[in-house]
Amino acid sequence: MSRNIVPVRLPAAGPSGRNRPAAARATGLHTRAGGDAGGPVAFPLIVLLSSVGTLAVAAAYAAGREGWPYLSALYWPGQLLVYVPIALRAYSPRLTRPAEGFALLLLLFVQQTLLFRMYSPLALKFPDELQHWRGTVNVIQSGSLGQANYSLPVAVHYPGLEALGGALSASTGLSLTATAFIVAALLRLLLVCALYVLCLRIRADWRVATLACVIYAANPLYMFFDAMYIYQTLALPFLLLAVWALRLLRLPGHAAGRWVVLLIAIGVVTVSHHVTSFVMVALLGGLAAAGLRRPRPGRGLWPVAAWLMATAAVLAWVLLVARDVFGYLAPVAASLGNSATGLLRGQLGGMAPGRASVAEPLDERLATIGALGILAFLVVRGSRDLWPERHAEPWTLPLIGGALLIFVATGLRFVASDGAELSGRASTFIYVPVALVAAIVLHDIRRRRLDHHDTGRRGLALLDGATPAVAAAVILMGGVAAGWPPAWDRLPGPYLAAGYERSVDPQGIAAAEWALSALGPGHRWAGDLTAYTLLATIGDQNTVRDGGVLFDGSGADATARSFVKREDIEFLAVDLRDSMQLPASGAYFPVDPNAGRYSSPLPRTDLTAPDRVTGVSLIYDSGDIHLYDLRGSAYDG
Amino acid sequence: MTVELDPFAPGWLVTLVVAVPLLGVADAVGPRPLAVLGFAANLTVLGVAGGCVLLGRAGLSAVERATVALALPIAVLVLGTIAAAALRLHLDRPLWAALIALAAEAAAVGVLARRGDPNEPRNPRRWWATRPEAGRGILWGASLTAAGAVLAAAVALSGWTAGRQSYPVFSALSAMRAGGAERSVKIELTSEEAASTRFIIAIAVAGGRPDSITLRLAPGVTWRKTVPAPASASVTVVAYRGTTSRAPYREVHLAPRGAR
Repeated sequence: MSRNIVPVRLPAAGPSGRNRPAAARATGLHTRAGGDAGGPVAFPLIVLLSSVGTLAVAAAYAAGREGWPYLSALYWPGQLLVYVPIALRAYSPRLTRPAEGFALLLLLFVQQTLLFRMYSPLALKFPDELQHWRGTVNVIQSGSLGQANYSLPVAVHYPGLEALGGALSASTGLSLTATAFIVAALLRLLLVCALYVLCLRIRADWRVATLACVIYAANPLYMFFDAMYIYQTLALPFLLLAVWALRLLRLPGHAAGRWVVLLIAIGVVTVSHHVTSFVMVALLGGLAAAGLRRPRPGRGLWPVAAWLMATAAVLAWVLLVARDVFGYLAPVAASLGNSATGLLRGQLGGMAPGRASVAEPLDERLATIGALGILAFLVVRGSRDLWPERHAEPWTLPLIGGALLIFVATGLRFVASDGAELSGRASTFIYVPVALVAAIVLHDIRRRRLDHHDTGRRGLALLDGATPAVAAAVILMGGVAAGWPPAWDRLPGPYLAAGYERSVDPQGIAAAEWALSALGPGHRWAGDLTAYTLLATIGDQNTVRDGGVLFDGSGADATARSFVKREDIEFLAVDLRDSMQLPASGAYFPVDPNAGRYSSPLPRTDLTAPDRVTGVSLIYDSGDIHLYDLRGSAYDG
Repeated sequence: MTVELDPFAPGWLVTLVVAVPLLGVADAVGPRPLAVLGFAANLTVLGVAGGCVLLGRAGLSAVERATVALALPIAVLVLGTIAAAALRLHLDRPLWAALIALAAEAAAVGVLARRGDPNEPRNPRRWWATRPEAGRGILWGASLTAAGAVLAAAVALSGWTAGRQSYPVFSALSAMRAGGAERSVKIELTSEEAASTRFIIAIAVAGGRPDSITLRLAPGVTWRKTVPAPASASVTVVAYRGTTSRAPYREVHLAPRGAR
């Protein structure tokens, strides 16, 4: 592997493709490869094809909203039509121009951004986005970064995204919703660029970089969660840029400027997202340790210095500013601990108490397993191929180690009680080395097959042609199926109880807006999952996560009174639709001991129990939603 | 095709150095379109010139330069805002305009100062572009036009169906004690019905005979009324839909304070 990488240059328009040598023999680092049979023609056709895919998904979304039964089946064909032609072109030896490779990535960025935004094109509905919308509103209204965000208290200490969104909205006069759309899209574009330039610097091959970005785009949370207006979306590209800047330090000249870029990237990650900042410390630590393995003459200490600076920055931020981050992350750690304990007792995550089991269609489960299988195979083979390079290139071992973490993430899926979510969250980071190693292997496989291509065996040739298409389809489908939204939430549609974005409807929004206007911000509320989200974000109220004890129909019994007193609950939000539907997500409340075990909706008499408690006032009634004032009532005794 | 541009020629740079503060002023206090223009222009200057100052132009690919040009303004906005908040400055449009203008000015001056650095290319930068080979332009144009139309249709379809997605209609009735000593009750009825709807509102204080009010509300309109009611009295408000008061449509109830 080359240490000093030749600068990438977009090529000049050269002689006609027909006069160039075959691509297989010219896989230069950043120079244009030869062999251009049909090259320029393919790109506009791919643009057209993938646009048709986007239209098909839009039709499926429309079918979900309008209740058209047959068009919803267009979802998967549309997704595949967007991704597979681009993936095949990225894999094809006919891709001969770095510019076309990067254009494919931009095309994929545009299409996938549209696929995400078209789910809810007029308003923010995803709870995580609403949390940061509230934070940004607070910044603009208060002119400071310190105002409490009850929907995500820890975000006040990681205000990078809110600072960016607030600046953009205030400076342009755009609505916060439009600002969130634009900021999230810009950050997604930056992620694509950062991943591309990082892969290019690590492997010095634009084909590998292109393929790696295409593979990464199939990771479970890439399509939706990582495209949202949330703090991780800001931190992730700067994490990649920090590593890229570290890599640049190997080159002669401009060392001071590169250090500045590195420090800026470390700074942005540190103030923007907790988990990403911890990953940054671990990653830079791994790279520093790998650098120290080199023999002394070629050993540079700058990776160690970078790691020390990142560690100092993150430690200082956590200890001086974001002291509540450990409390915020403690439940996740506890969940992992419980899962490990459960595993020792022979209890897998799916059987663990408190797990919301949600049935996935068989084909999607098979696709998930297939995608993991394909990637695991590529990672294992890539690790084997890269192993001999470990002495020449110190980043080889961290790369292999990072890619092999896919097995840990896969294990989490089955072991932890929230395994699917944890595995998905981890995949955002793990898929970076996974995608790069897989791209290196695929590039190698393609080159070898071109060298040994036997045109006489037609069956094998057909199989050869079909395999990449099938593999791309499985990787994409498995990624989407394993990620967000889950199968029941994949299309927009009518209200679902405890269904995250599917629960955000005009009635819930109106109740939250009324709470803010009539009561002012910051009152303590108990409610179901949807009330928890909407009251805390749109309503700017201080909601509790474990209010289920007030919904068991016992009224103001000792348990309820104790809970109200301990949590200082003032108001209660009840949605009578919880008595008509089972919870779509498996849990009625953010913390629900009965998650995944409901066999019937909550009894209506349980939901209306506060009506029968002395001193309780019913202050708001919109038909389905009742808001109660518990102050001075028997609950408050 | 080769297009020769040199945005880093001295004349351009001097113009930039002069223009950046003016754009900053436009961003801070100008009318909105001018402010947006100033904000965007200074962000662009900051990204391009800042990247050039920090990393130089030689040795980086076009994609890398573009990446830095995109990342740098974002980073300056994030870190600059947090620094300003730490200094207890009020975060508003003039502050952000000043922040970006200062950073852009520093970057432009930096590029101007580095002009003549032996590591920097003096020759005009070459922008390479690829265009379709002869005879394939029509195919390119037709495909890309069709793709644009298809994407526009997809976006329009999504926007249209999302805008007209039907949710169950509702009306919301609320009552809250108000006033310094909570001697009155503020009642609101908001209609989100499909059409203009007639309501009868019955308000009973301390279990007395209810007062009735008849009204008609258009969709999206809120009716408000404040009635006197001591804190020690219960208040019940019932809304009936239509012309008869048979089945309550919405009902709220305020318990007397100190009832327990």
